[in-house]
Amino acid sequence: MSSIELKNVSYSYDPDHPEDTTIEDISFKVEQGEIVGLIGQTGSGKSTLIQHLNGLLKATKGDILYGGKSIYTQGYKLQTLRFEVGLVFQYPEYQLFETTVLADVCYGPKNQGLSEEDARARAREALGLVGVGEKLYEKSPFDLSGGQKRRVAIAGVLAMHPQVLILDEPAAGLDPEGREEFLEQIRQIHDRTGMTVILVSHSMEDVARFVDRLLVMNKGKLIMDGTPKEIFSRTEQMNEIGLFVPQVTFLMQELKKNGLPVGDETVITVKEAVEKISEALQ
Amino acid sequence: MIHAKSLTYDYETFDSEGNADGVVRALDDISVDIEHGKFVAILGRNGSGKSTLAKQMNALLLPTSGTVWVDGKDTKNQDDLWDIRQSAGMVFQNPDNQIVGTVVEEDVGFGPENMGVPTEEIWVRVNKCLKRMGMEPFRYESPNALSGGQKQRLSIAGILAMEPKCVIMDEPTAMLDPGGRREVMKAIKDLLAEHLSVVLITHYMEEAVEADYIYVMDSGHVVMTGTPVEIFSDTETIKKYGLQPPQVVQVVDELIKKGVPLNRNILTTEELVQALCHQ
Repeated sequence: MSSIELKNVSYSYDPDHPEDTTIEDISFKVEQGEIVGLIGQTGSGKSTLIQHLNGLLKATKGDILYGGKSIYTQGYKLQTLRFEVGLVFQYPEYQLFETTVLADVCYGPKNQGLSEEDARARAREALGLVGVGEKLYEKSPFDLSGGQKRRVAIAGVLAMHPQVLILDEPAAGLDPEGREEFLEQIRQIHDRTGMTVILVSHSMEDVARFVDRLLVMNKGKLIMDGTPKEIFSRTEQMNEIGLFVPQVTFLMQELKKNGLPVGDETVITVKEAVEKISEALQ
Repeated sequence: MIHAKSLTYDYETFDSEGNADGVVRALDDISVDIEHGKFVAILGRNGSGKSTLAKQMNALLLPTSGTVWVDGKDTKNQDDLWDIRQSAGMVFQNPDNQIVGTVVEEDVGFGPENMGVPTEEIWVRVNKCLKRMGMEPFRYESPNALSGGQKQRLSIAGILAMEPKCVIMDEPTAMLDPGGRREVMKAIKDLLAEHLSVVLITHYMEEAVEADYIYVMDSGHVVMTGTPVEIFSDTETIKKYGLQPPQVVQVVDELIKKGVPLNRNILTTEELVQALCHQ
């Protein structure tokens, strides 16, 4: 069963001018357990789109199905949807507000109606998943480092046991090692829980090695949907919409143009590039 | 242009009641030398002290001990504060936090107006700086309507209008899409072509590759200094400090390990293509 399905979704911020759309005629399906990347220039409609997925914005046109059921049917419990589809905004560390780390992560599960004790158990589990140790539990979230704060904020969403986790640029501003660790942690959480993950990113290098499938947006429209290899093989189109391709993909194309027989396959990781170049040199 | 000697900076931490409960050393005996007209990158993991150092470079923070000179002036000297801030302008990560005008041209004029520059002269500067940053077509627009890259170019134009000698940028590309990051890099090259100095703090190693000189920081210390070739050819050491070479350098490194005779000074796609296809 598909986890989320969008059918011809359009949205306009101006109710008097519904033709003035921010996103237009968007259709796609995401299966449970997929890791999907969402890329596009600033202003292409990515953030507007993801706010539809947990009902924060309501489509002006079209329909959204969650678990096969339209979220726009009369009496649909949007609150439940928000527990199941967890949305982590950009720079989530600015949304921490409780007096201690543990209390902050307990906030979501308590809102779900869990007892204090159960909420604490969920919080401990979630903090464990993101690698925040017990000695930080009683600290004020505001005394933590940037990276720690971000982990706590994400734990706050994980503690609600969402089926779908949507992350809006979760690695922005992290150092290369922090980025790597963070994405690896998300993958481990995915593997352990079977969650669907939707990752919005501006780093082509990150999505190339992290996601199974890429959705590309441009000017409010979904213009491509495919594996990272398929998407990055369309270099010219990616350049035109200001996204470009990973450095290593460009390198291999240039090598080929200059006569090194590295083959026709699109290369998106350093490992593949090293293999192809070694073969070509022999 | 900017010199720091034995610069140390401590800040106090407070408990939940607001009482001081400790001191953290954010910068420990740092010496830095930014020459006039040069492009210097500062790298290091989150929390290593990069932003604290940047704030020392235009007297937003003052040394606990040691000295920082900006264009020959000691930052501790209160009388020189405005001169220092005028000669070393700063661009921050989030463009939305540094734009004050409701119209693009007004935003550029804000700095010189605050400095008491005569109105006629302000307009001359606004026109010039909008042109230099390629923002002329947007001069009557609201900054809200701009893309991330355009907003950062607007921030830089606003700083240029104060006629600085050096621009310090603290992760100006962290929130931008790939196109926006390229726009900022192009703006940096334009500044250098006009003989300004640029200090760039970044987590994007492809940007640092273009610098004349790199400082790597870790736990409040400068732990590596050198040209991009010197820094990035030492892959093992930079990994220790939370950094990762650009993909092209990673490829070179792996190929060398496999016995391909390549020079370690290769940093860019063009250089690697040259080495593998034309030599």
